[in-house]
Amino acid sequence: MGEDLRSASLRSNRRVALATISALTALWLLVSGCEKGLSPTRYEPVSPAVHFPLRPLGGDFVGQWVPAKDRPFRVGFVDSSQIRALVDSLVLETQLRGTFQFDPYGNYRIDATLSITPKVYIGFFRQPLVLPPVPDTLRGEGTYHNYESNCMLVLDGLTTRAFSLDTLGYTVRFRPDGCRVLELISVPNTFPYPGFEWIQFYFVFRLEEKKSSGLALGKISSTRPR
Amino acid sequence: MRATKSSVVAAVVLGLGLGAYLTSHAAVPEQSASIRGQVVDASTRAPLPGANVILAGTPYGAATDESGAFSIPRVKPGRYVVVARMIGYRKREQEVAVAPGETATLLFELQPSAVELGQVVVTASRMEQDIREVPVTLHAIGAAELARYNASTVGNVLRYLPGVQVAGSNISIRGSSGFSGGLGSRVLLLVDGVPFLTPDQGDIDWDAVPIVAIRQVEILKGPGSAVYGSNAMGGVVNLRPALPGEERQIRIRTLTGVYDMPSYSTWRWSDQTRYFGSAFLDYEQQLGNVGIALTAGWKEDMSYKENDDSKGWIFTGLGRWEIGPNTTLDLIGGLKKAETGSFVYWRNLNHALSIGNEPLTSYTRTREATAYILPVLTRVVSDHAFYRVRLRWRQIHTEDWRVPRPNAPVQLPREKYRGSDGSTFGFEWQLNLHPSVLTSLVMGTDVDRSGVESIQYGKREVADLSAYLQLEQRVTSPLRVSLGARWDQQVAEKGSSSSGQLNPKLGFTYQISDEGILRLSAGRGFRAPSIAEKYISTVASNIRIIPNPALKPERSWSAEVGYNQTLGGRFNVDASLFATRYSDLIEPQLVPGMLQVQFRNVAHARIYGCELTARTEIWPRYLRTRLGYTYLDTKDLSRLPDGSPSPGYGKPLKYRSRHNLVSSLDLTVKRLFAAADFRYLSKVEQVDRITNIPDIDKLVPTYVLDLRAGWKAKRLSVEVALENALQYYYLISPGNLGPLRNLSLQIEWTL
Repeated sequence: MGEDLRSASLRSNRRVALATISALTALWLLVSGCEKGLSPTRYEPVSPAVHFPLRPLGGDFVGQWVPAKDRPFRVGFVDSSQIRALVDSLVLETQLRGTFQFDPYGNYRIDATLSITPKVYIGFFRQPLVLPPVPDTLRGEGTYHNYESNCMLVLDGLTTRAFSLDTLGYTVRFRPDGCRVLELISVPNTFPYPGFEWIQFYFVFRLEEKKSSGLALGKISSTRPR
Repeated sequence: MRATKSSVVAAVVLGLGLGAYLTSHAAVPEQSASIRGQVVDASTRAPLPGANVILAGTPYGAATDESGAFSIPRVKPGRYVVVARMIGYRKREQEVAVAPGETATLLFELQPSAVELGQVVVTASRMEQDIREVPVTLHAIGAAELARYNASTVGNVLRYLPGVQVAGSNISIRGSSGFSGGLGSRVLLLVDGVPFLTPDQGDIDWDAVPIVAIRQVEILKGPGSAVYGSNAMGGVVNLRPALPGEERQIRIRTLTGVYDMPSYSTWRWSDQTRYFGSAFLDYEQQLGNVGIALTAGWKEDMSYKENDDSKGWIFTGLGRWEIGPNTTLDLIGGLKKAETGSFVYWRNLNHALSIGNEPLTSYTRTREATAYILPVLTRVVSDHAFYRVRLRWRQIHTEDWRVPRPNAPVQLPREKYRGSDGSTFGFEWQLNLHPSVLTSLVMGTDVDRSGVESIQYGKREVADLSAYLQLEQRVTSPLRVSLGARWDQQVAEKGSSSSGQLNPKLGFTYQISDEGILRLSAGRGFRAPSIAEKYISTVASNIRIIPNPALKPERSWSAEVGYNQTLGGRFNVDASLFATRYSDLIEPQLVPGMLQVQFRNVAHARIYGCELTARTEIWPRYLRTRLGYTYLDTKDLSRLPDGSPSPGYGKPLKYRSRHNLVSSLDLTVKRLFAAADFRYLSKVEQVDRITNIPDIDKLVPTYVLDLRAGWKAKRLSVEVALENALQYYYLISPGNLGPLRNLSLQIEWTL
């Protein structure tokens, strides 16, 4: 009688063990068959396709900015040998006015005007050849996207007349007086003059932090959910 | 702070005066007796180390050593009921009578039971209780189970409990927190009953007590403010350090592991193989009436993420001095030094293991040094009363260094740009009375002062004065009532908010049958704002944060009903329903019209949920399983200052998973064992939409399978663990991937 009970108990235990092992195998197959969790997005953000002539270094760009007193706007050439082959010297007089605002929640507001006046010095001419100024406006309010470890901004909804300025690299530096300086670097652009389109150049906006900035972009939200 | 200092002095004088009064009236027996013996496994006759042996209704008790032996010296002659308990065994009781100068010897043979929850806990009411007599859900994890996980911190073990989520120093119990990086924890960490949050940020440092130096971790789910005050809104985690044994013992535990490479090439930020490891040396000895347990350890983790590595050493010790027949002095102390990286979130999903919260040119490295001393004096006043005086002192020094990245185009100089010094001093006096076997009473006062000096917070001081009373009463044989309240008075600086808090609790347990028990509880919780939340003034992750000295405490009301049933000694199930209402939750808010963020009391929420845990022994002594499931229904009830619903009103709370499932299977064949642990968390439904963390909306559920196998003898054990065996890529916090598959080897050798 005792033997029967023991063997019945053993059979019962084996059945339970087999059922458990089967259930675990099924669980394994279910879990291993499921997706592998997060994976890289299928496409890279626009950044790899974008080449900045100067390497942006990133930094804290949030704030309200105005053109710096010292060299607020300059134009650089991607390949300056192209210019030397054409003219003896090219001077670009630039102007920049306006404000640039970026908040920590992905919103920006830009209202600025720029102007470039090219002066071309060609050999025997005493006076430079002054070309008509090229004005442009940068206006926009919307969201920005921050790519590649915070060193590139893509601005949604920024309108310009002549130049492509919605993709900007940025570097933030500190001046000796402790003031932050933001350098925005454009992607390569070309002149809108016949015969000059192949000359690639880029802009560097040099901005300084506006003191006692008051920014109200109307977004209130928690960044530290609890 | 003059009021604070005088209050501290008054409380200390009051406590010492009461202690002196009771000491002078102590009924010290002229000739004492002792009780000793051994606890063994009834079926194998093997000694059971770590079993608890207590004299029912008295403050006397002991734990068994490696040979299963116990000794309770200097007890008053008389009759006692001696109770022996051990996790995994049915408890046994024996009656004994001891005459003056006599030593009674007992042998306890405990019957194994996979589901018997015979654990003794102290966290629920500051007194020793059977875990089934506690009216709230409480888990206890013993040293053997802690070792089972090959884990480097207690936090990593708590992930295997249902309803508990841990990410670094951030812990959430039943949805109490989303993700705050640990700042202002809503779960209170205790070390042997002493509050142990950092003085500046009020967060948790799991490394302050090495996992090898802990004999039991108790996790209280639900508010514990009626017992412990601030921060215990969502729950309490109590680390109880290991006590020195009767015999000299040296133990070495090493852990070595390696992370697998990520499957995707764009995630590979380093060509190096990433290792982690630790080594700890324990030394225990009894020198006359002084016992010591010392632990020295080293830890290093290269991490699988960029600038997330850490390394450091720690030294902790517990000394127990039997000053007299009725007086014991415990001294817990620690010294820790560490350096850690600063990974908070990724660069983006295409570079998920690369750091995104630092500029391209540099990293932040944090250096930290911590020292603490927690002396505890226990004096038995009579057979039915003892009191405790606890002091606590903790000092933390942190420095944030900006160091150039190895391949940065511009090599900026290495510089310290932030630092903080914080200290905590506390004094507590506690009296435990057992006027009868049916009644237990605990009362006490506590004074706590925290000070911080740093660039971000300035020089700040806050203090908390409190008094508490707890009553446990067996009303009838099956019905027990637990009643208590605590008053906390925060004393802040001039110009800051000071407030008083009364936090009551009420609980019942009803023994329906020998193996079924019903519990019911309700209580209030609160969390005083941390110094960091009140006084911070800095720029962090592109956000300028300004102070708010008027910040008030967060509050909560919780209720729970639960039922525990054991069936045939092979199956135990515990089910509970719970509800919590939170108000005045502290959140960072954008100041209208300004580009500034400030912590404010703005959020309100409620959480309903249920939890089920089951343990079963499928194949007696060989195969055991555990299953835990938690369901959370969370709702944001926040309103704007004008009373209209906030944009998130009615939606689930951020960063909470609705479903959480944990299960484990343990197979033991003689000295060999194998185990599998599985964790599941459903995809969180709400995250921040406006944030500086790229790809924060890329979310997945969590499936993690861990496998373990090993061999265990009396003095040597070897365990191999494969964590995240499926190499599943999941998130532990916004923009932060959980550990990749990793293989580790743990060896423990006892000399």
